[in-house]
Formats: sequence, structure tokens, C-alpha cells
Amino acid sequence: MAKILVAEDDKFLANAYRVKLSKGGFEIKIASDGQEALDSLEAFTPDVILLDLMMPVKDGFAVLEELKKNDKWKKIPVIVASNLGQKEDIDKSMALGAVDYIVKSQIPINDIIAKINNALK
Amino acid sequence: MESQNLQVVFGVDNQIHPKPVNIIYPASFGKKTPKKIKHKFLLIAGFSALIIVFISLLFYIPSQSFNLMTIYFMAGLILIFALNIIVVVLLLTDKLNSKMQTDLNSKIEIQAKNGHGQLPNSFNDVTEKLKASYFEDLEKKVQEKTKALTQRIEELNAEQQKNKESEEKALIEEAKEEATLTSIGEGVVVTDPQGKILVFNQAAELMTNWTAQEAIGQFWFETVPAMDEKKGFLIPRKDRDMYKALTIGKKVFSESIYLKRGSGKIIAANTAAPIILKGQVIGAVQVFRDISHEKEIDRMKTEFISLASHQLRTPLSAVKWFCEMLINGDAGQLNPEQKEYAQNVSDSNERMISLVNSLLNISRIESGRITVDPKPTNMNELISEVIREIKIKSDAKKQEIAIDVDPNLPLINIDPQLTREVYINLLTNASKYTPDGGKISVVISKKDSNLISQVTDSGYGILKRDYDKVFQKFYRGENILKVETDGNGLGLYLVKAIVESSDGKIWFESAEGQGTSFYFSLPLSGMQAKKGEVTLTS
Repeated sequence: MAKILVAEDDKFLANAYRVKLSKGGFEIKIASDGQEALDSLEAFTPDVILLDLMMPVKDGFAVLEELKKNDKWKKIPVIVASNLGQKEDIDKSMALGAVDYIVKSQIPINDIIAKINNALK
Repeated sequence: MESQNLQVVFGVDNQIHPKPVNIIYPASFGKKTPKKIKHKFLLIAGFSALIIVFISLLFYIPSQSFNLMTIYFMAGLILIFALNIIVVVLLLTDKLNSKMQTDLNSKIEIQAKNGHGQLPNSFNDVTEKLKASYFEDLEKKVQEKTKALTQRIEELNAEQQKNKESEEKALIEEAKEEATLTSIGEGVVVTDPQGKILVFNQAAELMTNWTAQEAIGQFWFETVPAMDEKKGFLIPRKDRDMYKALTIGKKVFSESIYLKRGSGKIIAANTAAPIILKGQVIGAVQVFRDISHEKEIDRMKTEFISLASHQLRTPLSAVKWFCEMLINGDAGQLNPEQKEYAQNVSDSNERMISLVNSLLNISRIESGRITVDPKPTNMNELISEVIREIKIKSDAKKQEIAIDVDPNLPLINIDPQLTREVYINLLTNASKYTPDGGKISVVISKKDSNLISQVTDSGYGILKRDYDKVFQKFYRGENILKVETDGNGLGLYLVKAIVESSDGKIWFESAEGQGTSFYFSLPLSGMQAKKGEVTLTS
């Protein structure tokens, strides 16, 4: 069972992920800020990370940077799932090593499953 | 004017049409003949007669001929007659002159003896003519002189007035100029052709920390240095606005960062314009305004938009996903009624999402800070991608979409994201406002130096009375409000803003109930790259 770490500070969205991904056959862990996501990596090493950008304590860009600096975690595929939709946010995320970028309000949750499966390949 | 003070007294009243002079010749002569004239006449007549008799005798004696004497006598009579005439003329002229010089309006009475009634009658004409010409001449002369004099006086007065006025005017102008310069909020600097400061107003003093007294006579470029913030060095003289205005002779606009005297800096919006006299640049004026505050507000607005977009979209995403899961039956199959309700929530939520997207994009376009990032783009690929996205909606309405892209089109240097936004909006409208089973077509071709895109539908069309409102923000056509509730009236406004910001044009043709064609042009040379601060949201 593939493990998904979701860094999402909004509890309703986190809830949607939890329901959908569990039903989709994934093992899921929710972190409600960037630091919590990084801290949970040791105990719960995921196959894919779904990463929000605007989060308290540590934002998504900082998490991405730290992940890519760490040899242990840098190979974990990261899908950025944010509601920031500007080109510079997308470009910056991709430059920092994200494999995909999702604007949450623009994509059905079903498609996120497809994107995760894609990243797992 | 002063002309009323000027009076010309000339013995006649200054009328344009003086009364005619009446000369009366009574039927019976003698009665009213003035004594003086009578005496003069008799004296001259008698004297003439004596001369005639004397001459006759002189000729008679040597000739000794009766016939000759008769002739001499006749000649004498003729002479007397002639003299008589001369006397009458002399008398008339004398009288006329004296009369005219006093009062031409009075009557002149001439009486002739010896039955020469015809003579005065002919004088009537002469007098009339004389009177007319004399009068006219006099009148004319008087008028001319008066006119000339009046004119000269007026000229002198005007000249004096003018001198006084121009002196006053110059003073007023000077005061005005000073008041304007000191009271305006913009810094104003005037330099000579070398960039030496001639004028330095109060606002400039405040913004630069230099006093006018210190600044005047110094070189603008050295006194107030400008900085390139991104590269962090001082802008060389040749790249300064004022220098460009002085050398190119054209107005230059820019945003610059100026270093204050001592420490500190300001962000200023500048206009530098040359002062040109007879084709020669004799100096330049630079007007600059501190926009540090505006910049700060602008930054806050950008931040706010970004934050709002995030904050609004987050709950909208949650509604979207839960609706989707409900409808999908993730929480158990819904009955048809439940499904319908959930679908309504979902549809409304989608409208809200697209409204937020449009508002964000419009605020970005309107801010003028949108990034334009042109890339060589294959139009066929771009439009095919857009169609793939639209197809979900058009397929649901069983609409056909035909594409016709000129196969000889080169790669066009356009911003794919912005251009995509234009096509998506036009095609979404085409599908939305065309009944089920309708036809939609996209034609992309070359015309002169432009790329022309045409999006045609067989839909409801646009009402004539809506023609001038089609591109207005939030406007939706009256005829489509009833058939299609989905829509926010922002699509075409956004499309127009994008097309026009890329030096393109947009227009349409429409027939109510038959369909609409939207056209837009973009230069084949492509869009101008622009390093903005924001992009459209996706």
C-alpha cells in the first residue's frame, strides 16, 4: 500500500484528502504545517508527498528546499497542491524539484488520484 | 475710445448728406435785387459802355465807313453782353463762396437784370455740381483727416496701453510662474543644454534635500544621482532621462530611484522634456514625483490579491471536492433528487470559482503589471489544446467544433498563457451561447502583418442594442440572460484587455438568432515581452 504524506493546513481539504485517498487504497498521513511534515518523515516515509504552499510555521517552498537538500528524502516525488496559481509560483516549485503542480480549485479530486498514481510510476 | 474728444470744426456741420442749397430765381427781376449788386453792376456796365464807345470811335475815324461802324457797334454790344455775363458770374461766385463758407444750408438768391433769365438757370446746374463736388470733396477730406487723426490717436493710446499691459502681464506671468512652481507637489528642474540647473522648485528641494540656492548652477546629473535598484549601481549620465531629452530632443518617461543629499532615496516617476526653440534644444524640464507611497500600496494590493485568491479558493476547493465525492457516490449512492441538489451546489460553486479567477485576472491585467512572456508558438497546437479543454462542454451540448489553421503560418512569438486565455473565453462563450447541436468554428489566418483569429458560432447572437456594451465589465446580453444563467460578464472584458495590451484589436459580427463571429488580431511580429510582476492565474 503506497504511503502518501499530505501537508495541508485547511482541515476541510485535509478531510477530503483523507476520505478520498483512503478509499483509493492509500495509506495517508496529514501534517498541518510544513515543519510537521518534515518532522514526520522519519516515522512515516512516504512514497509521494502532496504539498501545500501557503502554510503556517514553514511554507511549502521552504519544505521543498529542505527535502531536496537531504539525500535521504530528495528522491521522494513531491506534488505541489496549492491555490496559488501564478506562473511564478508554478515555475518556482518546479525549479525546486516538484514533479507536478495542482491548483486545487481547478481540479477534481479524482484527478489528484490519477496524478498520484502517475508520480508513483 | 478717445475719439469723441476730438472735434473738427470746419464751418459746416459734419453731416454726411447736407441739405441741398436752393437757388431761387424770381419771375420778376429787380424787386428784391440787393442795392450793392445793382450799383456794382451799373458801374461796370457803364464803364464797359464807355470803353465800347471809345473803341468804336477809335476804329470809326480811320475807317470812315458806316458799315464798319455798325460792325464796331455790334462788337461793342457783344462785349457789353460778355462783360455782363462775367459780372454775373463774378457776383455769383462771390456770393456762393461767401455763403458756403458760412452756411451752406441757407438759400442763395440770385437775380439778374436784362432778362437773362436763362443764365441763372444754367448756373443752377453749375452750382449744383459745384456744391456737390465741393461738398463731397470737403466731406471726404474732413472724414479722411478725422479718420487718420482718430486712428493715430487710437494707435498711440493702444501702444501706450499695450506697453503698460505687457509690463503688467510680464509681472503677472512671473508671479504666476513662481506661485505655480512653488505650490505644485511635483519636483520641477529646468536645465540648460549642458544639464546645468537653472530652476529648482520647492518640491524638488524637499525630495532631494538640496536647496534651490545650492542646486542652481550645478549639474543635475551629479547633484542628484539616480540608481538602478536591481543592479545596484548609479545610472550613468548617458542613460539619464534629462540627458536623453537634451540629446534626442524627445520627451522621456521613466521610473527612477534618486539618492537624496546625505542619505535616503526616493522612487520617482519622471517626465523629462526638451525645451526647443527654432529647432534647437535650449534646455530641458524634468518633472518628477515621489511614488514611494504608491509603490508600497501597489505591493500591498498584490499581496492582498494573492492572499484573497488563496483564502477564497481554499473553501471553494473543499466545497468542490465534497460535492464531487457526493455525486460520485463515495458516501453511498444518492437518489436522483439528492444528486440533483448536489449538482446544483457544485454548479454554483464552479461559478464562484470562475468569478474569483476572472476577478483576479482582471485586477492583474488592469494593474498593468502583468508579465508578457512571448515564446515561439505553434498556433495549431495551441488551439488544439484549447479545444480539448472546451470539448467537455461542447460535447455535452452535442456541438461540432471545426478548426482551420493556415498551414503556412510560422511560429508566432506570443505569450501562450495569455493567448490561451483569449481562445478559452471566446470558445467557452461560443459553446455557452449556442443551442444544443450548434456549430462552432475557429479560423486562424494571416492578413497583411496580422494574425487574424475568428471564432464563429451558430448561436443566439447579440442584440443590436447591446453592441456597444458587449465588452463592458459585468455586462451580459439581454437575450442570453434568460437562456443561460452561468456567466459573469467578465470574459469579453478580459479578452479585450489582453488583446489590446498586445497591440491587437478585437471586433465582432452578429445576427440575432443566427450566430456571432468574434475576430481578434495580433501582430505577426508577436507580442512585446514585458517583465511584469504578476501573471494570469490558472
